[in-house]
Amino acid sequence: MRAMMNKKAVFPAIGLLLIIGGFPLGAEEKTDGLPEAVRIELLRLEETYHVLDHTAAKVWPGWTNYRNFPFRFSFENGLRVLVGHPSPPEGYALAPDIKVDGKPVHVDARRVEPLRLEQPLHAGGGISSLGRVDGKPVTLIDISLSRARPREDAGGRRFQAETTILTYIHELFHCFQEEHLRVPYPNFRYNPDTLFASYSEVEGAALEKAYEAGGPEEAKQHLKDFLLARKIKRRTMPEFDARCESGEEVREGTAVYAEVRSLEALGAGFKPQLTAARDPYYRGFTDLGALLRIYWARLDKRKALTYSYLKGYEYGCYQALLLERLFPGWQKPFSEKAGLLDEELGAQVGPGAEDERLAPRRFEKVYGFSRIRARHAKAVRERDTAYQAISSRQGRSYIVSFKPIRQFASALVDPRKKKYDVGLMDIFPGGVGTVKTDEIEIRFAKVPAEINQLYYFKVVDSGWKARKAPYQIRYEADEGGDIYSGVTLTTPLFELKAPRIRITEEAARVKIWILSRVS
Amino acid sequence: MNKFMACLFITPGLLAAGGTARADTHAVVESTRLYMDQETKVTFEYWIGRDRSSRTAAGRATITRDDLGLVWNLDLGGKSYTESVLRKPEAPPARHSPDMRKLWLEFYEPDYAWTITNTGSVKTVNGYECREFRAKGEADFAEMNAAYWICLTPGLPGAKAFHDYSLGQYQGDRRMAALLKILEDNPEGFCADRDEAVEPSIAPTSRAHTGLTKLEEAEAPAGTYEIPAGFRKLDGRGDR
Repeated sequence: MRAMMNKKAVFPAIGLLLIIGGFPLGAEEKTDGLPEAVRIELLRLEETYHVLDHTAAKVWPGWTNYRNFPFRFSFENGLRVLVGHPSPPEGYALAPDIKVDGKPVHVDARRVEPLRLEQPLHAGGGISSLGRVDGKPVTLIDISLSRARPREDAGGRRFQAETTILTYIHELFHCFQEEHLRVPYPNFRYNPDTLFASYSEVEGAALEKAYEAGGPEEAKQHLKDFLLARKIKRRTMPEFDARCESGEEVREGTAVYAEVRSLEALGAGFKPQLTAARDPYYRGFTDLGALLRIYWARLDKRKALTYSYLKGYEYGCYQALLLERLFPGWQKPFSEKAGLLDEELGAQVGPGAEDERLAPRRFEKVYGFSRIRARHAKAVRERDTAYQAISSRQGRSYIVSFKPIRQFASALVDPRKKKYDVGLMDIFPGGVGTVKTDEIEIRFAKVPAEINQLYYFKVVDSGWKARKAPYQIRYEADEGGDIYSGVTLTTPLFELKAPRIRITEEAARVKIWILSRVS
Repeated sequence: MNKFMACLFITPGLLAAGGTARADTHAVVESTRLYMDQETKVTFEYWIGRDRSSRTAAGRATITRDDLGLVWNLDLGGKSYTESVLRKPEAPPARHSPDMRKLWLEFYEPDYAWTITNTGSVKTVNGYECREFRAKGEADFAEMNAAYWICLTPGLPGAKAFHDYSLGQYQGDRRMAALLKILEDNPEGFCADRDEAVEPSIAPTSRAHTGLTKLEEAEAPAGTYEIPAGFRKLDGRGDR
């Protein structure tokens, strides 16, 4: 934030103290101050622009529009902050003493609950729209911020603000894609069978080997493997699904490519503006090697997963990186013809009939295909069995929704719990154990459980007919409208403690909404 | 009365009745949707004939030609259209033996269990005497609440055609199943006003108010059910 906060104007406001202290505010005070955690987040956005000033032209020719898109930050306590929106909707008030890169900041604190915001916060999001200007919707980058946990795919590393800046670069590149890299296919949705999973792993391994190759000819040979594995993988796929998969690699892969290429470009003469004194989690991209290794580690890990809808991120990225390395100058014509990365590779290194004839032997010798196939066959069988078992449950359903507090349910479950993914359903045959966040705790019995639609736990009581009541509830206050505060809820399958819930009961279903994280 | 005299009386009657029967139904519906802090207002205009209909809103039009078995979706600004064959909604796939590859649940379709209540409240909406029905839909990962104001006055011009058209529109749409049931139970009824709040599985709550501002019998403007001259046909699905 180049125009820093005017302390004289801000600090006298009771609102600042209240927000920082995590207490609810009176409406008139709601925009006068921002918590330190929010202020740091805005500094990261400002540093993002500074990074892109240094890197964008090296990422993609013509990428200059990265300052054109407003951001909306949604925090776990309900606070929402808009940066650079030309016409904020009702409910947002101008924060007069703060700007980000010269852009206005607006704050909506109407739904703030008394939860203290503290860094580090993990950023994730996507492209959305909010309001209209001159009759056209305003595209914006919608970022949700949640407390950061050591991420498995980052090797359990300590949080670094650089990853947030890279996330903002990723989303800004999506905005660039809107006009320069249009992908006319929807998201890829496909649950792998053994054939798909096995050849998908060969694809990933081939990309790895191509990237590590000692020279261009060796790299091209592995790219031929990639293309041939893909061809076999897609023999039983509908053409539309195949194009969705390739489309996702363009959409997400080039956005990850923008991150990686930015990191590579930062190696030459970058001087950070943000300092560790203002953001203690920022090191000014001093350890580029470690940051770059995160992407490599993700490719290496995801390639071997039977199921991961995130594979396209790394597969697309490394296809683009290889195109850049082997065929510099590829981007402009690629943008103009709205191409797909694998088609572009095919046009450049297209395998011949002899390559195709030799492929099975090569897959076995170079990649150990039989071993790969056996592993995925077992995983697919287990997944299908788990799905059949959980789908055939009969009884009274208990559904606990974390949607009102925007908490992804899977983030609360011990990652060591055995699970299977089927689309947006996570199946836990052995249950999810105890889940806990803030003042919410649920102790599940050891029964099969599912997480569905990101926010919901579902368990089924098959012995329900023998029970007198579906649950017992103790509470401090009945607020009416099925809402209770200070709750302990005991059911045959779990005990739940929460500051505030809503609960409804039907003949064979009990639904519980978690309404607050803290009392 | 001999046959000649009878014809003198009956023929004008038939002609008059025929004239009324040939008049189309014209309806205008104003809709306001609030989603993610954005309010979107859309005006829907309907023309409903015996074997054809037209719905226009927000620069797009859908013309349904039952007589030809076709649906045309028009982009009025882009002067283009797609064509599809008119089909009844497909039955949902059987649940047994799913193809795991396509069992992707992002397209979660809530299977609402509906509770419908006739509240007994009565009010006049745009001149129509209406009764209030409330509907609450519960699904595992979604819910919906609605208040429907249904006009039950018999014999209003256009009411029957609008009723029948609405049934066709709502068929197979799970979010409209409660209103469909109310209309099926009230064969001359039509919805003059409705408030809906949908809490989907993942996306934020959306609220909508929809009000009927005009319902009449009138002659449709020439070309209402035709593709305008100069429109370009595009390949692709023209979903109804």
